[in-house]
Amino acid sequence: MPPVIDPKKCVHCGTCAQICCMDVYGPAKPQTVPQVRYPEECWHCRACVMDCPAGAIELTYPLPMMILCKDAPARGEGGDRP
Amino acid sequence: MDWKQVPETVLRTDVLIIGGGAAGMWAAKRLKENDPGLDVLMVDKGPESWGGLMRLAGGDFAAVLPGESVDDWVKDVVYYWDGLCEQDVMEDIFSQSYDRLLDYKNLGCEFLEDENGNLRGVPQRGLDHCRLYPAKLKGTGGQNMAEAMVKEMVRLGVRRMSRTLVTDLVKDGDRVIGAVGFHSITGEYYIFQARAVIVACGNASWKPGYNSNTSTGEWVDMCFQAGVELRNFETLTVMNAPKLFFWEGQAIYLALGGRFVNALGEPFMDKYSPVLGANTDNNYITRAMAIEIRNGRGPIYLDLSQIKPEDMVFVKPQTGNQMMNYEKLLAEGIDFFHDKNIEFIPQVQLTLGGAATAPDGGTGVEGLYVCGRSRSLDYVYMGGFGLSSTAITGYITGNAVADYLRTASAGREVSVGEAAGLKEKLYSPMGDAGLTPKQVLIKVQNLMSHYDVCLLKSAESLTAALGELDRLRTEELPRMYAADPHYLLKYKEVEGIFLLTELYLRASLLRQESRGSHYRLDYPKRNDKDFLGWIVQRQGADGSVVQRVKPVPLARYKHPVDRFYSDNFTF
Repeated sequence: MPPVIDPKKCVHCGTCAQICCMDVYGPAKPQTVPQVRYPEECWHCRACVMDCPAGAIELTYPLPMMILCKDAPARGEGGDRP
Repeated sequence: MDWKQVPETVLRTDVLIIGGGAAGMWAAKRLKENDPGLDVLMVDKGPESWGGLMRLAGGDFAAVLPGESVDDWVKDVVYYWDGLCEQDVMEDIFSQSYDRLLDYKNLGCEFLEDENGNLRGVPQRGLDHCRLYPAKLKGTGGQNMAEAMVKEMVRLGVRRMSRTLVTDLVKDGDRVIGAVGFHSITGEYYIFQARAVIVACGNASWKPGYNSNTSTGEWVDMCFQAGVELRNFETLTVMNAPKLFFWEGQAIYLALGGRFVNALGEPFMDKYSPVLGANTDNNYITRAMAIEIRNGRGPIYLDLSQIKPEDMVFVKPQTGNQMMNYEKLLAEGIDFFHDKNIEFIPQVQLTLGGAATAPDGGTGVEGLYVCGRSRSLDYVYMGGFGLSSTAITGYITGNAVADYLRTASAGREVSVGEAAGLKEKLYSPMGDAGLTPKQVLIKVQNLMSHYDVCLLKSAESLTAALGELDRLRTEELPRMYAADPHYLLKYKEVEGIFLLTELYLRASLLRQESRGSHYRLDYPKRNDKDFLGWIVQRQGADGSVVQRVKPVPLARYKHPVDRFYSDNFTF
């Protein structure tokens, strides 16, 4: 799940937006709680969770989020192989 | 906003470095140390001062210690890479490895040592001599290195730009004169005028997980368009990964007694390789996993019960991201080190394909250099080689470019017309309807993830995958759009991934044999007569991929090619 910022804890420093390698937050505006602008881009590296000085960010793992190998269904059995 | 009207900025520099990770920073460091008067501009698509994917590395460093023989290491990798080793280049690289380890130490990065202050190395993949040296604190080694190098950039006055993607190189004849790119938040267009350009962008991946989701294939496309020779795109790193969460560092467990077992509890690698057993390269293990699962003996689990208690210091994370991962899993009721039912499956990560360069990182294009993981050296990945090869080749290329600039004549500037043409092309996907980059990416990932495309290849499966890629390119790629500059960056990533998928499939088809991580069901044996060489690819006159086998120059190499790692396996 994408990061969730607790507005009561957030100190408006903008660190999360600045460090996110996927730019999930979009640009930080001064003295505001950063917006999670591109939630679907989050890859759960948790850099924001680690660097938030106020411990204001919660991040919950999704289930599989990677390219996982699978076997190809045999052709002609309705598999998605071309 | 009319994207044709976005603001443009012209930036002039002596050296443009594309990529702000380990290799780019090492190149920048050497440039400034050679000539403090040089203007060095390092551009990265990620956040400011993050230091690239080095930050996410565990901290393992491969190095030849004083008293050890560089020749022994070269012989190990000639064997491990099934002969596809540039022996003279690797001799030079290994001979500089300990110096770079010392450089990191001098920058304050600590490695694991015994009570006498000797580095504690871990042998790997069943090799006789090659070892990796872990960071003192497992989990934050790469982060410490990244922070130390960023400090060096500040100290040396390297100019840096973040959130900026370089998209095209600009050439005058056979010489690079600059590049263009854009800011992924503001959309601002940049025209870089540079006397030399260094590409230092990392491996090309299919965005497998947080450890390499930024290192994709735009640079492959950029180098391909510029006429750079590429090689080794038939290689993949297919890791073993837990099915339900992310975990890394498995290689070191295998070196210490960890092993994968099938549903019957059998340590199946003993069957495929009685000599090496469990302690071998991941690509051979995942190939065996696929065969086990196909034959109804899945799922596959990791068994750590054979690791000695005193070796657990190498295994258990103590800090950083890995520790957080471990604690998070514990909170969800998963104890990674004790649960017996954690299912593992193969996971496509990246290709080791990259630029085929001269020993100093030079390409056939004057003024254009490639270093780090974008330069293809290793045919099968070896633990610790990421951190050491980025430092070493960055160092070498930084020196080479400083030398080049001492005598290079002034090139012409990127013209207004060139910049305008590239700008129009760059912003043409901006729109508000169609397919998002992620929707298209998932289809390419899906194509790559089938066992018969990534692990158990055949002419039939590869040809079918190429057909599917062509279909996606014709039917879906033209419908992909970018709603804003953030998504334009994703668009360019996916566009690059199309090219690297094509390079992978075409090289895999050409190599009608099995070698290293490349395994063909229809050609399961090695064929040295026709294929003891690198598959080199470049852009042909009509824009298509032109490829050939470039033989290993055995006559001028020191060591015979008569031992092959893949001979340890029967599949």
